[in-house]
Amino acid sequence: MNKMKKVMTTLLIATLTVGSVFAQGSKETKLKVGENGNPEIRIGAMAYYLSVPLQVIKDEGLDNKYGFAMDIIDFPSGGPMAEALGAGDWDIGPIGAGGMVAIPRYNAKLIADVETKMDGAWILARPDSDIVKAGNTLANYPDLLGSVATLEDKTMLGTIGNISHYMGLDYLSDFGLGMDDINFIHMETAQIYTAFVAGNGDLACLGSPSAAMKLVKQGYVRVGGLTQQNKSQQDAMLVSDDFYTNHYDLTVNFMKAWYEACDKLNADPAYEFAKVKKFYGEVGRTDFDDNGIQQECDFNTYTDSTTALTNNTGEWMKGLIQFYVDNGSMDKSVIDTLKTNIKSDVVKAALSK
Amino acid sequence: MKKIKVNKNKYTVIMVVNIMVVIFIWYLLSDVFKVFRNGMLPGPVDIVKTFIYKLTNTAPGGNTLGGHIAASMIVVVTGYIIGVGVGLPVGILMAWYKPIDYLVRPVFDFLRCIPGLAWIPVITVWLGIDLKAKAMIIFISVFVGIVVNVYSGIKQTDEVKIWVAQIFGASRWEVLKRVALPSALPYIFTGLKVSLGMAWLGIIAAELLAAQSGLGYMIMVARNFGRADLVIVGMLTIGLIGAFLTWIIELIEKKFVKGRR
Repeated sequence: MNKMKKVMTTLLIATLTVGSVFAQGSKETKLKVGENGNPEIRIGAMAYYLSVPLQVIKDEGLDNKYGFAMDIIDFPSGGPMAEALGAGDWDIGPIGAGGMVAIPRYNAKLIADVETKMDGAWILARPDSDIVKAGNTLANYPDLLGSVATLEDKTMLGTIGNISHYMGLDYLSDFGLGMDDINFIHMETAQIYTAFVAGNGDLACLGSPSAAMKLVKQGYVRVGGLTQQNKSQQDAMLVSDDFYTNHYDLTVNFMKAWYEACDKLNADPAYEFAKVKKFYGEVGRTDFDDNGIQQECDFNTYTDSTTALTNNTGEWMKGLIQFYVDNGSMDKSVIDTLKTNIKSDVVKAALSK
Repeated sequence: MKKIKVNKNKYTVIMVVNIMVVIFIWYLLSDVFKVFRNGMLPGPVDIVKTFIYKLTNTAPGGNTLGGHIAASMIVVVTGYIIGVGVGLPVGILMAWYKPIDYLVRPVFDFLRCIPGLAWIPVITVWLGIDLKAKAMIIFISVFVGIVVNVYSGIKQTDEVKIWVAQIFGASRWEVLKRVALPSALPYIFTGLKVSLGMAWLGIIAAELLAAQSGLGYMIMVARNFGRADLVIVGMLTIGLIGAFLTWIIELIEKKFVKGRR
């Protein structure tokens, strides 16, 4: 018994020591010096269209021009990217629906919207399905196919908590239906594609344009999509609380470079095509051909130095989070956190003359 | 007898104290020192609150904790029973009949190195996304655990006992039934316990394949919404159910295996 007391006491002392050493305080991250001799920003990125301006920043030497270096950290999707931000693993980066976790839970700051126009998040059905045969039954949504009778009790494949889930539920709500009226099966994007092609499920909700376009090419029919449902689809630029607080000037400088890159991409479609192709090549994507890249370029437009100031920053994210608060998936308190964490001052500072 | 009882009480006290100390350390790290940033490690009080909330509320994920437990149990029990049902005879046959061992072992050794998660893409194509696909992933994990333990158990049967049985005229089948299997029982029960753990590990992989409810599904949904509290509730529930089922197997083991108290 005495031995046990000793062990317990040692354990508690060890905990107290570890606790006091690692206890949270206002710690400021010291920045590394990059290869170009400037302070290094850790950039969170994904192998999608939203991260292409980083390629331009790199190729055009905008990092050096604005006095920073980049350490680009790639993530497969927004979920792990948000968690990595919570763990303090990156400073700035463009993110999609993953932002709805990063902003309220990990206190990240939303400083800008990445695009003004997007498309490619679609809902697909089989060409011979009764949903397609029902045609358009909603006058307000001419691009949506299906009817209440053909949708009820169908199986929808999607990923809960990301843009495909949001899109699927919004599609159903346009018909006056909800999640209880169908069988929503949660799967990761790659699994949705495989399962759907293998004959499982009636509807595939795909937030990834490459997978959606691939299915359309194979003859599957688009019955819904965020743009077709009159819902905006965007990505947002997030910065960690620590970096925003302690390295504000660098945050502003990064956004200066970002907007210069976006201006270049928006100004010249051929340049945009070449940079998207180069970026996808460098990050190892093989699921695109030239037509696919062109289609994606046509679908999407970056927020640039002209449109950034007229945009209502963070509106899309507010809508997304409100949607999940309304259906009980997120707590109401996240709305207030979100409001305080939308910071449009960085964009204003970056674009002031 | 009295001494044994005193020792048992002593160990119960140690176990309870141990659990309380762990909870207290958890409380210190999460609520007092806040070692992990941004509430990434919710405290024990928050976990209890979430546990109670989830008993009656369906959001997020569309089911209560009871509903998720039931959904996972169906998958785990189905996969486990089939895995044990197939693994037990395969393990016995491999250990007892050399030709079968030579025939099956190379394939088995190759297949057992492939984790359940790696099977997901092909199982989706072969079996779809319903119960049989998920049970298949559990089956693979359980089957491997059972075969390995049954095989080792029978292989380690005391050769002297086998000779004695043979001298007294026992047939090969009788030696297996009366000597090898009883002496392999401790290994078989270890296999049952290890496989049960593997089945609960496999549930996360199985529900990653496709799910509408279940504990693995609840954990993934909670992760997607950044709900660390719900993730921990899911983890603790899996641990508690696993421990409960292991306890049941141990009770059965005590009844059948000589020398176990």
